[in-house]
Amino acid sequence: MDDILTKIRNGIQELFPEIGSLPITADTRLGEIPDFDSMAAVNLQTFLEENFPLKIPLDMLNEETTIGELAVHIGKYVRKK
Amino acid sequence: MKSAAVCSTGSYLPETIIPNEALTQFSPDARRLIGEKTGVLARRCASDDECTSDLAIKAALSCLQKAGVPPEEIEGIVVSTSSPDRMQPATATRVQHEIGAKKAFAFDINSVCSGGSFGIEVSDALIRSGKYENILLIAAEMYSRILNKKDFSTYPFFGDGAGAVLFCADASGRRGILHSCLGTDGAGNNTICVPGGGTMLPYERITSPRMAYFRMKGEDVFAFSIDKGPKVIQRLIAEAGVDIAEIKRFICHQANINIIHRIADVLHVPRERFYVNLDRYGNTASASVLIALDEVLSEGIAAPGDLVMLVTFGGGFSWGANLIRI
Repeated sequence: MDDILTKIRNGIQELFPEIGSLPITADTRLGEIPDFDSMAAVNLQTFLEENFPLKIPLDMLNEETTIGELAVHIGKYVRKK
Repeated sequence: MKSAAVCSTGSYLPETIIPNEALTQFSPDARRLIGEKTGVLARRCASDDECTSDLAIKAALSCLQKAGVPPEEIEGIVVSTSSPDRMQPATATRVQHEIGAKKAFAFDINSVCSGGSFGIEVSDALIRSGKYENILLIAAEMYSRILNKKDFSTYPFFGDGAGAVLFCADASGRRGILHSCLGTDGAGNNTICVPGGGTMLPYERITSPRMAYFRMKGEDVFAFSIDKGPKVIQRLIAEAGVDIAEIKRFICHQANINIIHRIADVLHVPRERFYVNLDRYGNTASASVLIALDEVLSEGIAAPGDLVMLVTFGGGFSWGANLIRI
C-alpha cells in the first residue's frame, strides 16, 4: 500500500507543481490540490492508468475523493492481479 | 484622415484534421467531455515540416491573391503570434522574405489570444498616421508545438491555423476600422503562460519538461472571459455611437462555445449573430478572429456596408474589440 501511495504522491507532485511543499497524505482530498478541476482530473486519470494496471472511472476522481481511498481502490485491483 | 479599410482577407488551415475520437491518449469518457465542455469537435494540426511562418505565408498569399495586390506593393507586415518560429528574430521577417514583400517593414506582436484585436488597432494607427497606404496583418499560431499532448486541460482545445487581412488607406469615409478598444490586466500574467524558456526561467533552470509547455488555469480564464467579453462590447458600441442591433455579425475569439453563448445571452443578442467555427478548428489563439473574419466575408455572411465586431480575450490578461464597416 505504501508503494501505491508513494507513486500517487509522486504523480500528483509532477502533475500539480503548484502544490509546492503542501503535504500529501492519505487524508488529502483531491479538492485540496491547487488547480484541481475536472480537466486536471483527466490528467490524473491518465497518469494512474499509465502506472497501474486498471481503468479508473472519471467520476471517482472528484474533489471529495481522498488519496487514501484512491490507493485502497488501486490496491484491491493490484492484489487481484 | 484616411481610414483603414479591409481590402481583402485570407486564411490557411493545415490539411490534417484530428477529431476528438483520435485523441486516444485520453480515456473515452474524457474525450466525450471535450465537446461538452467547449464545443470543440476537431482541430487542424500542422505537418512536421511546417512552422508558424509557413502558415502565415499561405494565409498572406491567399489574402494578396484575392486583393490582386502584388507583394512588392506591401508597405508593412504585422504578424500576431504567441507561438513564434523562434525566440528571435520576429516570425514576420521570414514571412516578408518568403512572400517577396521587399519594401515592407515587418515585426511581431504578442497579446496571446487577443493578438487579432491588438494587431487591428496597430494596423489602423499605422494607416491613420498617413505614412502608409497599406498594412498586411497576419495572425498565425501553431499551438500543437507548445502543448503537452498528455495535458487534458490544454491539448484538446487548441488547433493550428492562420488568418490575414490586407488593410488599405481609404479616403471615402464609408468603410474601414471605425473604432477599437483594448485592455490589459497584468495581474493575470501567470494564468496563461509558457513558464520556461524565457529569461524568467531559462532552459538551464527547467527541472521538468512540463515547464516548457503552455499552461492555463481554465476556470479562471472562463470567469475572466465571460466578465470582460460583454463589457468590452458595451464599451465599444458606446464609444462608437452605434446600436448593438446594427452589428451584422459578432466574431468572438473561438475559445469555447459556452463563453460565446454566455456573452450573447448577457447582451440579449441572438446566439446566431455570433459566428462559430471552433467546432471545426478548436482555439487557434490570435488567429481565430482573422480566420473567422475571412470565412464570414468569403461565405457572404457580411457584405460591403455591413458592420462586424471582433471581440477577443486571452493571456495577460488581455482583451479587445474592433468595429469594422466592410
